[in-house]
Amino acid sequence: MRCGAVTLFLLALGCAPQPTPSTLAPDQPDPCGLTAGSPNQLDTLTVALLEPVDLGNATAPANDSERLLFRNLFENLIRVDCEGTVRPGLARYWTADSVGRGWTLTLREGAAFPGSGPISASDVAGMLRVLANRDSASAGAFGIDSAFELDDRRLRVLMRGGADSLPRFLADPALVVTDGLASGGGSGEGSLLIPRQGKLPVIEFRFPLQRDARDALDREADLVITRDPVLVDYVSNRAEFTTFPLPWSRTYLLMEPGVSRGDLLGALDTVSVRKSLAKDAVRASSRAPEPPYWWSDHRSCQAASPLRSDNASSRVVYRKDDDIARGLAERIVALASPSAGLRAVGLEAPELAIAVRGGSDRAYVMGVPRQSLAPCRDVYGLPAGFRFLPLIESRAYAIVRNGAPPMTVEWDGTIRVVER
Amino acid sequence: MSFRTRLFFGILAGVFLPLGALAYGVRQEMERRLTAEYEQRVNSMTEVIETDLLREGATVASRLNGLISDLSSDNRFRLGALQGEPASRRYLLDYAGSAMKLSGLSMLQIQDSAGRILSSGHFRNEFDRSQPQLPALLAKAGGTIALVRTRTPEAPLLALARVDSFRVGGRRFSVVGGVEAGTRVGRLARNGDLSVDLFYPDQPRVPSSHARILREVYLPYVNLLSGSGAALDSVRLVVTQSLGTLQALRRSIDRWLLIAVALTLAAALALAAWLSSQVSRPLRDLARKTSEIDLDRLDQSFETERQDEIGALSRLLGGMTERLRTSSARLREAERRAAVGDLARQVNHDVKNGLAPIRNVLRHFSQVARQEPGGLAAVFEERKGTLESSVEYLETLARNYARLSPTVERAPCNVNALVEQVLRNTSVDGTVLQTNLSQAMPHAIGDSLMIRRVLENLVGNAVDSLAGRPGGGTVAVTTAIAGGVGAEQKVRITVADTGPGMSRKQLDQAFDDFYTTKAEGTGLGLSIVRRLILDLNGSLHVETEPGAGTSFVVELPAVSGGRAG
Ligand SMILES: Nc1ncnc2c1ncn2[C@@H]1O[C@H](COP(=O)(O)OP(=O)(O)O)[C@@H](O)[C@H]1O
Ligand SMILES: [Mg+2]
Repeated sequence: MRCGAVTLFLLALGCAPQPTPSTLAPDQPDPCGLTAGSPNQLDTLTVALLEPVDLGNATAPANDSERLLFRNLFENLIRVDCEGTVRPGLARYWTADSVGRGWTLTLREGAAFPGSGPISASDVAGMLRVLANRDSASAGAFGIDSAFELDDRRLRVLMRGGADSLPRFLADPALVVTDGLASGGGSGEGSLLIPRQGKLPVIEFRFPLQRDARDALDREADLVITRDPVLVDYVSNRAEFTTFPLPWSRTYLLMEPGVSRGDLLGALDTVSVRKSLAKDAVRASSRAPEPPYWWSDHRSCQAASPLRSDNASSRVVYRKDDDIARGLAERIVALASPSAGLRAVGLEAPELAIAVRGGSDRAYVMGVPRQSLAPCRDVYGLPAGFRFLPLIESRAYAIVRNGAPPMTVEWDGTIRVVER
Repeated sequence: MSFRTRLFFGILAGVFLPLGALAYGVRQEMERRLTAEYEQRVNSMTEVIETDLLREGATVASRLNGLISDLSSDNRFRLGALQGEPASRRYLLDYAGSAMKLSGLSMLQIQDSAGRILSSGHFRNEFDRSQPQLPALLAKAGGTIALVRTRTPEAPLLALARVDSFRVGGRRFSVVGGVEAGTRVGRLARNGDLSVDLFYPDQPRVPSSHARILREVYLPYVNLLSGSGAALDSVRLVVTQSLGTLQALRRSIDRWLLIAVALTLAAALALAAWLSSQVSRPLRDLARKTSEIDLDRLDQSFETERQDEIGALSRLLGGMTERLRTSSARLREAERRAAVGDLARQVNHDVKNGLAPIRNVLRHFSQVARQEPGGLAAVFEERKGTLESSVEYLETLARNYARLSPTVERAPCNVNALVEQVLRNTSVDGTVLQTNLSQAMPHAIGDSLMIRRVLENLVGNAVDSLAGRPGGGTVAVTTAIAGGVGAEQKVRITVADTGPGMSRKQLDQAFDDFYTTKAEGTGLGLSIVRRLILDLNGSLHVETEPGAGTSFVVELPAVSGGRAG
């Protein structure tokens, strides 16, 4: 495997010191940048999405393809790079008030939704207000108190608690600033073209028409994000591509409802077992998980939940289209005694959500983001009353055609195309 | 039990026995044939299963062979399995999966000599588990195919599997491969009413009650999922023939039989009713006619056209009545003769009694004439009274006996006129005589003198019964038509009085000769009346009760169609 020339400094977020907000000087090299070959030879960047995409998921992307698409289609007020550094997004400047609760953000000049009208401060403030109202009561809220526009380009955001620096959760996908397109919903089919904006190239997203990603690479795809080592293996001998390993971005958890007949967690909670899980049980670039985990300090954010009834089922459940989760679930079944009668069962996402809420299965294998900009909110989203065991961490690869426009890796391992 | 019931049961028995025998025979024969057919089908099914198993075994064996020759020359397998080279590790883990798919097997696992699973096709992530029992047990099964229950991540897997082994670099590896058994057995399972069921060692042997076990095929069985640890067992493939068809046939035969029985029942009922009506109605008629026969009425006609037993019986009865009729006449004649004999003795006795004083007087005369002839006139004067009274007695006697003359003349008689004549000659004091004579009367057939004597006697007795009763009484004579039409028609004469009546005992004696309760009576009146009426072919009956008067009812044959003037 040939890797990119750029070194990635992967920091565990949440512990990183907060840099003073500033713009990155153009001549300063981006520590998170990806450059394959000599850049900017391509006018159009063709991106092949390998997983199904639902345009309604803009604020809660469910897979790597959705994350890649929405990250390049929409913007947040700010960005957080692979090192955890806050960088300007829609907001070019921001200043804190004296107490550190209020922030005045100034939008970038000429900010516009791709292919439609300009973005005004009132659009953003309205969105934040909706979010603040919706979340006001719940423990898992971001903590926005109110937001209002000062003029066309300036808005003021008031937090509930004080903070030293601008809250980084503004870069969370939940706070992405979208136009009506995202709320329209529907699955992508064919392709989606993002027109040239400023110094950004034209980006064409091709939606998955065929399951085999190698076909996409053979058909002039310039960028593919994959966790499949077979695909990485396939391009390793092709000079026109450069493969970059991306940051460890998913952690797979084994979740057992509170009361349990046997102790699956206990049997798996050894380093050697988890190493073997990472090495042999899944077909993906993976490793044994490494603490600290963003959820460790925030268990109190979880809603108190009644103790679940004894789980009668012998199912170890995973999301059907998640091959890594399947491999783990199958290995867990394999390690249990044959007479225990455990079986691995794949469920579609909606059914999985129902099953987790019911908590009547033996165990669940689920992937969660390895990083979180709002740990309390994210812990709140995890099922309550379960015991977790991180099994493995996995990462994706970016396969980039040489000569593609420059890109940067963000806090969650997602790639954004940047200006030349 | 009535004739009809007996007839009914007779017919039933006559039909049911053969019907039952037929049903039994048909059922037996059908069962025999079907059973033979079933046996043949089960035999061939068993053969099919056995050859199927052999063929599956051979298929699996040849596929394992191919795999082994491939594996022996596979460098990456060698590197991964012998040297444990990390780069070949993933290849090794995935090997069985792709090899299984390529060779069309449903179960494949490669194990080292210690039993550690190096690569599994049906359960990729079962690598590194130790499962030494499976190859050992399969080897013990003697190289034949065996049923193995193992697992996949999702569900248990039932496979027809066998084991093979090979050596690479001085180390022994075993390969267990198999084809999916569940659907193969399932495919056999239903073939019409023939079924193939799999019985595991822990399952009870009792088959369903609707089938009978016919053949069993034993198959080695290894259950890796049992909690107690794997052992070499055997499963039974039980080929059973459902008896559904047979039972359905039986049921339909029974149904038809039932219908036949019902029809027979109905037919038997109808037939019994018809036959018995044909037989028992004439019998009833005969019985009725016979019951009406008595010595006074022997005129029943038993004539018939019938040629059957009833006809014969009828004619027999007719003959019997005829004989009875002659016997009755003869009886009456004998009776009469007996009466005449009695009478002769009586007459003899009476005449002797009458003659005895006369003879004494004559002897007395002779004695006087011999001894003192002069006193003869005086003696004659003295004894003349005795003579006269004796003669008078004899005359009375003669007159009385003359009344017993049995000459019968048959001619139409006007009964009303006779009644009036008799009543006119009857002397009464204080007694009221009433007549109630029917004007539309036919003439009676008989001797008018005899009828007159009957009437004289009855009216006389009636008047006598009222004698000395304070306030007198009434004697009423009524005439009327009685009986049917034509030859059946009768003339009825009723003589009723309001006298003392008679007790049952008195009535019984009243008709005896010489029975009388009167000082002047002869006791012959009623006996003469009875004989006269018998001779007139008539009938007599008495209605009486002490204190309620007496009615004598006489019925005499009437002239058919005739009317009294
Ligand atoms: N109408 C009658 N009522 C009462 N008694 C009668 C009547 N007719 C006959 N008897 C009884 O029957 C007896 C016999 O009658 P019968 O033979 O006529 O003989 P006799 O008249 O000479 O007595 C009578 O003595 C009388 O006792
Ligand atoms: Mg008299």
